[in-house]
Amino acid sequence: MNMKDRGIFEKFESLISEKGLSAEKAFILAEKMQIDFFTRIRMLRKLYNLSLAEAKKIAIISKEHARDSYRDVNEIMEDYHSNLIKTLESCLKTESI
Amino acid sequence: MSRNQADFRSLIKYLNAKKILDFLKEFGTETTGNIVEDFYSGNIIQYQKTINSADITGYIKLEKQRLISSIVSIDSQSPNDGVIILRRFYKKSKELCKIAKVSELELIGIAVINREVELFLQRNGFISGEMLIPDELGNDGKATCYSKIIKV
Repeated sequence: MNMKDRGIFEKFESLISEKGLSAEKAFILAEKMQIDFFTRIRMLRKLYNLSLAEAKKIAIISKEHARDSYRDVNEIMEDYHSNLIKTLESCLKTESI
Repeated sequence: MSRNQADFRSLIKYLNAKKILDFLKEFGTETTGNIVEDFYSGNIIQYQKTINSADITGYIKLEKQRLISSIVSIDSQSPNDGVIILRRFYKKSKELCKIAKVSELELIGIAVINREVELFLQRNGFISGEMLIPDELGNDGKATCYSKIIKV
């Protein structure tokens, strides 16, 4: 672990133990602190023991919950993936990928 | 080699490095440190780009005759913005291949988390495989990715 990560992770580690900070809230807080996406993913994975796929899911949910904290997690993920497929379909229609 | 020839070569090298640097900046990378050297050394270069409501994040990596252009996360409030940012990503990836003088572009989607998306990618010629998760994403083994190699 590099020095920069260590400093960030220790700060969040204490927030988790003192305030019970959830993975979602940690991700949003780190974004507000202008910590880049990869570092936020590493932080989630390290401190909450998540796989890369699980950390990515937290990133999607936390962003949506920052807009509407009552939205159902399954609904968020369904909408996200349906949007993603529509996006990919439109893109592949016009680009010869 | 004459002094003029050496100067000319240095100038070409400088201009090419400048071109790559400007292009990486446009791609959405942080152009701090020795990013051009990192790029040519085959290190992972993280990018992040936002256009309207759409965000795209991933990394690029130069490997011999291939540019690996990966997407770790794409998020958009409207499919339209998503299409704009995805098209741009593809266009810029191809352009970067030309600037870096490589003939292949490998598009990769990392840790795809939905079965329908996986099936969609498979139908469109993307091949699934296990890849080592880079240190930058918390290396701890492998993750399923979908990739497609395109001749540029």
